[in-house]
Amino acid sequence: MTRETNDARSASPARFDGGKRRLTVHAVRILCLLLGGLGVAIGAAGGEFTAVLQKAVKICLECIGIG
Amino acid sequence: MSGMHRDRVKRQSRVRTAVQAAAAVFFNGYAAGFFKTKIFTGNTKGLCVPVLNCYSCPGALGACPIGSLQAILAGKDRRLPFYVLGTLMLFGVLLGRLACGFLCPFGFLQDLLAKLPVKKIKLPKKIDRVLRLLKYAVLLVFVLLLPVFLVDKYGAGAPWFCKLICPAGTLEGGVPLLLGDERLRALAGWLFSWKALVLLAVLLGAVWIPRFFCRYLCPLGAIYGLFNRFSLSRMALDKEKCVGCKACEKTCPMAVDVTKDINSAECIRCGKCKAACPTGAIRRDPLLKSRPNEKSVPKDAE
Repeated sequence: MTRETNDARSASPARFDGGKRRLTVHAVRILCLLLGGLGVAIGAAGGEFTAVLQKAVKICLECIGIG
Repeated sequence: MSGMHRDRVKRQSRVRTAVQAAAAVFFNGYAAGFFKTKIFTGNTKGLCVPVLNCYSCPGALGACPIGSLQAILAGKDRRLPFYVLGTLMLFGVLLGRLACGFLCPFGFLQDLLAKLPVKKIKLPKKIDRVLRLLKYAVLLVFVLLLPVFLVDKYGAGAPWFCKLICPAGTLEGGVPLLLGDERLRALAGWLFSWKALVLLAVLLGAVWIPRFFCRYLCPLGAIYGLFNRFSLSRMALDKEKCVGCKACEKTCPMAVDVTKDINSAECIRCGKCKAACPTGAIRRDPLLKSRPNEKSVPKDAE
């Protein structure tokens, strides 16, 4: 493949669309990771970890079908 | 199918089964709980696991994210479940529905049931499409709305999905605890009968329709499905290598239109399509290295 061919490929609208799409997916991933991490940190700091723990260490009567 | 190809399919199936079995043991590793009929009470119970695994299972080492979500939403203090939602978001981006395909113990059980030599039912596409929406309704109504709005006189709600639907809770929590504890057995009434009926229906459904619960009812699958298009567990189809034999679609347990929408919200990333493809056109693509529009690059550019 010649240099010209590579240039033609990268300049094509199709490649540009693909690149834009890839960038969007990566951006959404990073945003979700940040938001998720932030949610975990805020929730845990607000005592949610303890709330989940307190619920999970007792038998949940509703879950087993007798609540 | 050539011998080598058949070996590849078998090997992929064996590896996935081994991973599923290991995950089921890992998430329910407190073996003593089953003998003592007591649930684990260590600190790891505050951590949400990425799968539908009841925290009332005697062996469970972590918390079910759907149960935890309802527990926080149904609490009297009416707080937003940042921790659980954040955890779900992280699992969603990192795993997507790969968690369903490789890690979920209830999904594993359904896969085993689907191996029974029974002629599978293929629902008409229109009905199947409508039924698939049920899981989003279950998520919205039973997991999010009812625990918040249907409260008792003290202002506390209930985990309605766990209470009325969750077959994993009945199987992993209800059955072993009731078998081992006489006092709990004495308390069982119409609700347990109802849940046992739901469990039976779901298990029977999974014999004839692979992944019946995951397809139509699982609220966790519905959440992960929202992340499927951009999770790290993406798949890619090379349209130039694809010969349109539809081997991928025939083997897909979730009946995904692989050639049209390979990263569909329904795909559980089990990899069966990848193993079945005779030309190697399907691959895992976590970093989006594929060129989705390659086929549309003008020929004169080559």
